[in-house]
Amino acid sequence: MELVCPAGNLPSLKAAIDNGADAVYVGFKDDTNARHFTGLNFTERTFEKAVRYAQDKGRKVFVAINTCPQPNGFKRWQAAVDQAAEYGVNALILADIGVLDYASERWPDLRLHLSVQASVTSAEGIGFYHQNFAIKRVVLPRVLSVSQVAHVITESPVPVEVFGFGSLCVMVEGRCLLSSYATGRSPNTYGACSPASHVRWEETPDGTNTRLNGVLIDHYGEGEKAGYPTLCKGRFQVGENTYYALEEPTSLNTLSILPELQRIGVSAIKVEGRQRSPAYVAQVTAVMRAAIDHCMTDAEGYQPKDQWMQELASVSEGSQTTLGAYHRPWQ
Amino acid sequence: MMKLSIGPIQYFWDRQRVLDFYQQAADSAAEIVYLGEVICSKRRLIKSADWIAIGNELRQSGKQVILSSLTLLEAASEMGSLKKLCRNDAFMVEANDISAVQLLSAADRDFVTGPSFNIYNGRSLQLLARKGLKRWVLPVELGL
Repeated sequence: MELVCPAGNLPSLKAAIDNGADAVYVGFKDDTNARHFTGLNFTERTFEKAVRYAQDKGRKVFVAINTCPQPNGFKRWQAAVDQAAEYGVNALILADIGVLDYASERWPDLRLHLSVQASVTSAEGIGFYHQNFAIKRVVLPRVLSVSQVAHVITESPVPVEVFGFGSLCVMVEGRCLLSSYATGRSPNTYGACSPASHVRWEETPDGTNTRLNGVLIDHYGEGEKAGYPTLCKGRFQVGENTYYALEEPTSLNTLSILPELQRIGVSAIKVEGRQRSPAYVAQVTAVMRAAIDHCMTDAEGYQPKDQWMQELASVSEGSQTTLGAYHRPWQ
Repeated sequence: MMKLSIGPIQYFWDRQRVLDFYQQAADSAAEIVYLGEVICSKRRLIKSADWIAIGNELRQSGKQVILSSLTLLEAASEMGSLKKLCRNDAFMVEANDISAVQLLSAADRDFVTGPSFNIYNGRSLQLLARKGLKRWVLPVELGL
């Protein structure tokens, strides 16, 4: 199982490589990738350094170009594909059918991975991308149970990568309209969910309000740790109750099921968080590296260590972790 | 000439309400009617055979009928239902997921894509048109 880690900038990339990532995934400094935040991502100059740093150490660089170009912007996505290809990256992570069509025609020898933003959950769906664009890997959305992932792997024409750690949301990536609804911008159109330009933190006499384009997302009392205001993780009043009506702020943590993921044939484990700090990347990469190594050498005797769990909980949203959809006994 | 269509019901209405709704649709000015469960496969008040029967009635009232597919597929049973839907010999299918596109194009059947199927640019549209796409619902995120 390959460990694929996020890098929003050069320090994060070095942190990922130095702590044992087999591959890092990065994006360019524009809306061609789904983590288009101010201060993040790579210019041509830092990108060149990034590719060299990783590849000199025998690791891989994947470039996420995983948003959806509108007709007047298509050239920018083509340019991103060309730039990544010309620097000899190990794979592109793509979502849009038009971009996949361009990349597979223009760069037939370049490895293409299907991004989670394509929201593909079945072997039949994977088959479409395999037949038309010869994709070499698919990243599955975080909506399937372990047995459903196993079923997809059995039938899939290409190896499967799944998320192993990181923030969770509604998880129908590429097809969620909540951010568009509140701000007019979304991962598909702008490369960011709940863009920072629309976020407001308001101090009030009894705590902090977080707003997204004016919409009240949450209220935090004294001493409560405020989270980033995405619509799906707000506390809303429904009838008599005010609660996390859509989703609890929590992070996915698969340490306890790594042997199972290995057994069903998962090819790569992805860590979410290109928008997070180099310290986060270092910590999560180190823990996941140790866990995967342990699991690969002794799957039978594998147990997640308390220290790993604590370290991951400390960088998790709301300091809580979950197995998410992987653990759904009714499915 | 621009036509008027009625999209699939997104709500979990009771059976009688659904039947009444399509009774009204039959008498409406709409030329095209989309039928089927697109949100959740656990909603089972209307069965596949019911949708076909409703579709036949609407067709007799002069409507073009399209069967809409589920948006997010997770369980193997949902894929089973999708395969059955894509094999139906009466109506064209609205694909709301890439799985449906793959099944329909492999079977050489024309299809429509729905609002949750992402077509944001001409290159995507051209490729899908070669696969049998006959009409598409524009993403709500597409700018003018």
